[in-house]
Amino acid sequence: MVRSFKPASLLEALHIRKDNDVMVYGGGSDVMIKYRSWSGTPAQFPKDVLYIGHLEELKSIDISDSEIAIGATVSYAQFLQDERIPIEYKRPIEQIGSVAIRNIGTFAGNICNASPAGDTLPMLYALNAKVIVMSTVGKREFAIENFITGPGSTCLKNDEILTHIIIPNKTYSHSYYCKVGTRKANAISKVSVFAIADVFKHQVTDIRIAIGSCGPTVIRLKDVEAKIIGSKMSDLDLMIESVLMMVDDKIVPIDDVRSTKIYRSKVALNLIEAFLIKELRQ
Amino acid sequence: MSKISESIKRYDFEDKIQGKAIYTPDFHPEGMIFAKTFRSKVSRAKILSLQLPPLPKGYFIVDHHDIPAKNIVPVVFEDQPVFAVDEVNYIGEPILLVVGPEKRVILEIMNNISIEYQIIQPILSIEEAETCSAPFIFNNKPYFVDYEYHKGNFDDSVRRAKRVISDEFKTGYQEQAYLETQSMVATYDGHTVCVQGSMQCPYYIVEALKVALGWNESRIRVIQMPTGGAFGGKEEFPSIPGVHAALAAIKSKRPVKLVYDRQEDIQCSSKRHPSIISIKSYLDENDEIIARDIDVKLDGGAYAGLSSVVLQRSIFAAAGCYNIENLFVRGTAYATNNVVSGAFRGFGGPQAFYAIEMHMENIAKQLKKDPIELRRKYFVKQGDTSSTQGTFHDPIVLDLIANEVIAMSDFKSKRLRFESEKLKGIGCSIFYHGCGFTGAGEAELIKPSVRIKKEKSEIEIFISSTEIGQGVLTTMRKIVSSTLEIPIDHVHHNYPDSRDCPDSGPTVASRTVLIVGRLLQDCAIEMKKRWNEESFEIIQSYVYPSHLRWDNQIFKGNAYPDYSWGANVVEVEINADTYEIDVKGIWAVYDIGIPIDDKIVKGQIEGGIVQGLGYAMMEVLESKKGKLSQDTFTTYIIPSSLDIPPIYSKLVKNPSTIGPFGARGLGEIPLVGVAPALACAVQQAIGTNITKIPITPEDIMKGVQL
Amino acid sequence: MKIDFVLNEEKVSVEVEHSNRLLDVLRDDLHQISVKEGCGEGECGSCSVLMNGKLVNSCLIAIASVDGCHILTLEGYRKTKRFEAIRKGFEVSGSVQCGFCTPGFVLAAEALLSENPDPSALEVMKGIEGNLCRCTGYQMIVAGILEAKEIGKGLW
Repeated sequence: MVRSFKPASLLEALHIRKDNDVMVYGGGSDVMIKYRSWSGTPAQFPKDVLYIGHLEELKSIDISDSEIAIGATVSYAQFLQDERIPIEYKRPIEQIGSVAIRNIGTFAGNICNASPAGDTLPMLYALNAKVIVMSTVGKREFAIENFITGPGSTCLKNDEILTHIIIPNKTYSHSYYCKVGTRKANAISKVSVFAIADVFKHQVTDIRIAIGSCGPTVIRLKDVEAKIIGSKMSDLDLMIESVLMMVDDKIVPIDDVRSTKIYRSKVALNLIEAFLIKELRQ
Repeated sequence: MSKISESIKRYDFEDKIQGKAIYTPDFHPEGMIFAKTFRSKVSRAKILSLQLPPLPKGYFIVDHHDIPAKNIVPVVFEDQPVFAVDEVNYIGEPILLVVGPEKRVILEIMNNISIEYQIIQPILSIEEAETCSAPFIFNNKPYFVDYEYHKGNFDDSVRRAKRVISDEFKTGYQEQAYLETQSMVATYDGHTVCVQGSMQCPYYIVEALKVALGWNESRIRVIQMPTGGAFGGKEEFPSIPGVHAALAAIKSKRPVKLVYDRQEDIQCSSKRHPSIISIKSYLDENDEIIARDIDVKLDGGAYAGLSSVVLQRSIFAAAGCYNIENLFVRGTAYATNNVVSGAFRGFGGPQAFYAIEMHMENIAKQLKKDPIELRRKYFVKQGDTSSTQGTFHDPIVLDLIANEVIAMSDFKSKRLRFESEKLKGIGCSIFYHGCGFTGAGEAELIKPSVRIKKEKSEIEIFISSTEIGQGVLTTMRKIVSSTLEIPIDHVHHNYPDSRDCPDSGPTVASRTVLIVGRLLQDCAIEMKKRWNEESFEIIQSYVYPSHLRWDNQIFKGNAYPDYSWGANVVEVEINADTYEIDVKGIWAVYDIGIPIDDKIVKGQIEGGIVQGLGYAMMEVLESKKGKLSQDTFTTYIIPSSLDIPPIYSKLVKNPSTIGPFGARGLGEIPLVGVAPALACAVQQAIGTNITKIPITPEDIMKGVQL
Repeated sequence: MKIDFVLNEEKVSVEVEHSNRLLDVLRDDLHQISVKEGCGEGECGSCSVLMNGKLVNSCLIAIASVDGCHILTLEGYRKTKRFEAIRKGFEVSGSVQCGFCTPGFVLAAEALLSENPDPSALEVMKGIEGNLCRCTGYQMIVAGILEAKEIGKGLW
């Protein structure tokens, strides 16, 4: 039988993490499924559990002129209800799971779960989000795409806790999100694309695109972005074919229980084309 | 409007809305212990050895050795064991139960059971079954049953034909996905075993217990608990957990609860049969359809179950609502090492109507005719001979149904408009559902009877029909009180208990209101005549109507005692980027006779349509090497509230001559026609023929012509 | 471990494993039979309860994280005036068939109406997106909630 820890503070939590081999339980929406057992029996967690969902220190969203800092135990619902947060950042979040899932699910859980289908991830990749991890000896900061190293794996060490997610507080002239799921609610994505851009005087001054469910991790299209930045809007039509070829080279989707490799590729390209050709014009 | 159709408050409403209804998983008799099923993990093998760990005190293994009489689940054929003995034939086949007070200990025992298999080459699809050689799964052939029937002079008409139009269609599995999983609680008092659970057919379980235990009926009692959905999935399947729980209770002498987890439920309970259906139509020089050749193949899974009966309904339904003079219809239910296929709302009809309606659509397309008008030319009419050469005695109002659905949906102008608007489409389907058992089955196999009792001014109904959400506890009271012309609150009716309810037949086949309701009405008419008597009871048994005929050897005569009819129109738009289907609306018109309760009818219609929509475009369920790939609610996707299009439904009131107050069967027909109407719409939208359901965005991507 | 929380406005204390699901504790230890298990993985909403006023799937909550929380089940909610409005709305709209999903829908309706007392049909559909019903096809449940909001005007 595994033990449980319910610390009174983040500091205590970090000490528990240092002194014990524990798994971290935030909202529970992933781990309670992953480790569920026969109905009527406890979840079969593989190691001792550190519950942090109640820690007030991690429950706030702090907003400055330059950044939005989201505590690890902030639920999706809390994020959606915060009126200070730009609407375009809410779009992917309001499509996660269902009302009940959004009441317990967290960004931190979604990041540490590190699924290529994680619904927060394309946005966090595109926005150049950072994660802060802490241990008793200090804190480390990672760009999200460096933090996640593969399906289900991250740079988080055994003595660390992911405490905050930092999103630059900035608005963009264009933003786009499309999630293609198995149904319209409570669905896991088959393909998703989050993109933002700044267009100034008919010229693309910034663009960032990330694709979910099309590889072992979410994929950020930096080559494509570099190619487009600086282009005139009128050039996009001409560039689109070569841009889509670059995207096609970059993504590595697979066949699974939800969809097919070929569908994922085709739809990813369609969505990116829709963003570049239709959305950017608006 | 008929007075009886006016909705009243459902009698099961209060308990359910307050969360007070005690479903089987909520039921904890004193001293109750738990059972869990140990199942085959391979699709076909000999069991070479089975090693059990030592059992702590109070824990039991229950397996085939504990069956006092026959190790057989009685359905149609005697091929399916209650517990596997020395071979297994599908993944999920029950081998034994572990029974005891602590779930954690039960799991530990389960984990320490070791079993050694000798794998036999499995047969995993219809295609493999068609070409497989010995060892066969079922006797000495690759199928459970094969049937054929004829009408007219097929060979001559084929020789006369100037044109042949042929199609082949495939349909997938569908999971009933009732919200409450299979659940049973059994108790044993040293003399009588009592099984209480989630079920459609208490007397199927009574029969299964009689066969397995070899006991007479006085020692067997089956009671239905409030049941969280069924849809056919609790027709024949619950006999297995029902007998399992009973054997465990008898052995342990304790009440035993057996409740499946969702994944276990999906993996091992019965599914809608996958099918391959080919249809060839022969046309003469005037493009008249003069003959039709239909071949229906079903994947029955590892045991025969109800496959023979499902196949019968399927081959009758495959002729559609059309009077084609010359027919040759075949059907085969193949044995495979997949999960056992079984009953599911529509019962072979949805596969058949998908195929025949797509085929009619394709003929219309080739002949450049309006799809509804082409169909209309061949609509069966009163006095016509059916595909099985029975006479349609009653008025058939397909013309009216078609006109109504065209008007409601603005079908014709949309159809024309979408010819030039990309990725938009509208499609239709015309269909029926035969109500009650096939042919003379009601009289020969089921022999249903009902009982009502008068005690002063109070009346009680005793029938074995179950309340599975379809409203039987309300509709039967309405039928009886309206016939007696007494306030409905004087009529009492409870969940069935085999101890005091006669066998009124199973709650299936859209037969409950039509057959059981009519018997109750007959009782009530009789009771009314004797109203002055203070207390008495009346028992009424079914008599086969004298104007009907059926020969079950050659499938000749009136295939069903009555028919419900319907038409659907579905409008779609395909997303150009994601190939997802956006269903803009579903229009539905039915002749279900006179509704017994408008609101209950509406609930059946909308629920059936949405289940049909799932079948048509969402509910992918595939067997890979004999294992179902989508076995949780995360992977098996049923429609959510956000997936529902507007649904517009209407009834044409054409009273049945058989059913009480003119009512016909309703439970199944709303599901039957959705898939073809949707597929026809998608076909128009993308310009490529749809030959399989469910239609996924992945399929549309491959077919889309932009 | 010992867990203390408030169930339907009464203090309760249970001695259970920390990783027991709230669902099992409510059903097996506290006899809240309205809380149903449909899927065990947060897809169907049959096990919906309100935790500190928020709709949650009790199958996804380890009991350790419930310590000190307020839990409301239908057993508690059915004593309220708001419930009466929902009950009437569901009755006249034919929102209940097999009834297994019903407690979850009632609590989802409460969660929705307490955040938005005047939802549109689309907002209602969004509010019940995590509750699966296999019987009704949802339209009659949506109608029931819209009816309830009229009947219970001023209560939310």
